[in-house]
Amino acid sequence: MQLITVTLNKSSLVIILIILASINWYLGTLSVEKKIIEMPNLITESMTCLTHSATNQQKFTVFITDQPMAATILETLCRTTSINRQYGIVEIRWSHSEQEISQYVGKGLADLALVKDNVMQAFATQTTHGYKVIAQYKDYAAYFFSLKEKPQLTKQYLWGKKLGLLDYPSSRSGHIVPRSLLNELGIDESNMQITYVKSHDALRDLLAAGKVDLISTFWQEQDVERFSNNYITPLETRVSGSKWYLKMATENTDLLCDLQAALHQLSTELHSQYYSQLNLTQFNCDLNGLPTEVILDEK
Amino acid sequence: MKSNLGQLAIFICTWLLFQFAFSLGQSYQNNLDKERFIASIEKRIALDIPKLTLANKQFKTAADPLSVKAYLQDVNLSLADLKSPIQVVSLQGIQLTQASTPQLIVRTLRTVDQEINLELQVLETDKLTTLNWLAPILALIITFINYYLVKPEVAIATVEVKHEPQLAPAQLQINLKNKSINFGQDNEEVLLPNKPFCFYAALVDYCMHTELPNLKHNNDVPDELLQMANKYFYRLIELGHTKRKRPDFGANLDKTLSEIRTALDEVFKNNIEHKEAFYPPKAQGEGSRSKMHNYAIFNRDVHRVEFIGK
Repeated sequence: MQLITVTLNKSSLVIILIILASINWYLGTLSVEKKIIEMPNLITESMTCLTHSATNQQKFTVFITDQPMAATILETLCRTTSINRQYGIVEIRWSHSEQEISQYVGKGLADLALVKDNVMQAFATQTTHGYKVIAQYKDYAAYFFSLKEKPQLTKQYLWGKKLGLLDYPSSRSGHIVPRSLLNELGIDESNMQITYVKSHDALRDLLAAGKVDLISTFWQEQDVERFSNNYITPLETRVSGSKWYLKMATENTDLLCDLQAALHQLSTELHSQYYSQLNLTQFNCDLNGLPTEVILDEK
Repeated sequence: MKSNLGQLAIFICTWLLFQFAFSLGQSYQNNLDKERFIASIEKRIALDIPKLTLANKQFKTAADPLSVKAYLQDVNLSLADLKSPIQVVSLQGIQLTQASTPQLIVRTLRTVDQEINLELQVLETDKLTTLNWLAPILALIITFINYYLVKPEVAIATVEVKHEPQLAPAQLQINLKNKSINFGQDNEEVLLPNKPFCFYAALVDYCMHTELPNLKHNNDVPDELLQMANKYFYRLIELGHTKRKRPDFGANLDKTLSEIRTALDEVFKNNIEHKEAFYPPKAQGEGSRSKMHNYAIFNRDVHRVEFIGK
């Protein structure tokens, strides 16, 4: 017995049809342009520049909390003689995050840092890493701002008011000073409607929009355009300004003096009322070239 | 004959099928790309969340809409560079742009202490599919195959063909051991008395070995035939079938032939067509006993007769 197989030709045609349709489907997938879908990092929190010491791998790290001044600082520092002599790279990093601030100064990662003194005191950085104040910005006053009346610092007045504060617990004018006052007056947070924002400008916007009754911030010249100076009440007249801390692991006085000169130059380049009022700490530096309005504080 | 209209219909349908499959592939790839873009955006934002100033109820922290918007703008610019069909609309309620489509893609990123909502939109509807130049060519090939190569469908897939074995022609068996005659394998053996059996065996033997056997009633039975009959009888004695006296094979020929024919009728009842070759012809019509009647059998083929116990 022998089996003879007869294939069904139409079935074969259908199979061919299916195979060709599949090939067309695959060609369709290939015809779509292949895209790179890996998104790059979009957040930049540092800038670097190279000094003239091309072979030097030492990095000078600067930490600040205000990004807009980063580029000017970097440019200034990269022109500084001692940095060019002693370091190959200058890196400037910025962050608002209190966690990162504490990491940079608490662990001594920053060679130069512009931070508030309460943070540095919290980590006792002078003893742990030898940070020294080489310059500081002028002390300022913290005020309650109101839109339609002069704020009163009484429990009766403040009770139930809508208050705008800064979200940073380390901010003195925007957070520490007003919270301290409320605490002194025995006003619980639940008795007020507190709105937190991320910047002093945002606080001003809140008040101007009528979303809060009061805000706590500092006075600046351009505030007269939006608010009346009759409707501000000082909370504390001497809030310490931010300070420049230099990590003095060695008695690197050349670097210290060059940095003071650079920071002074920076205060003239930055068009900011706050950053232009810089007080340099007095060391044995030859600062003859400095203009007379620069104030030298006692060490 | 296949009609031209039918072939045209096959060509168009096949073309459309291939184009449809091609478009389906494009659509599949586009959707896959969208999902990959969405996954990439989710991954990017998830990685950047610690750096973003988003509100957190647990820590009573406020969002910084300006910085978040600036970040989302960077994300969208980066997506535009990547030719992404997906754009970010809002993150945790901070809206960057008004959605241009009513249907937003909403994804939720879950951190340890909060859920972060991300709204995305598809910028463009699916592009019109491009024509596939291969589709008409393949459709033409299929039409060609169908026209020239495909035969009308055969109903059965497998045909079982039996090759009958080449059987040898059926034999007449004359079995001296049991005095029987048999034809082929299907029939039963027919027993005969001694005289007709021996005479028939001799008749068959004689006719096969005689050129033109002439056995007529008006003549005496040839001696040669009689000797053969005697020989077969003696053989039966040897085989123990009988101890009787040898019969006279020349006497009562008609009766003997009649007994033989009766037995052969029985033998060939199922094979009538073969009967003639082994059957002593009967006298036909009037004058059958005439001189012309020959009762010799016609078979000359020795292979068609087998003597058993000869």
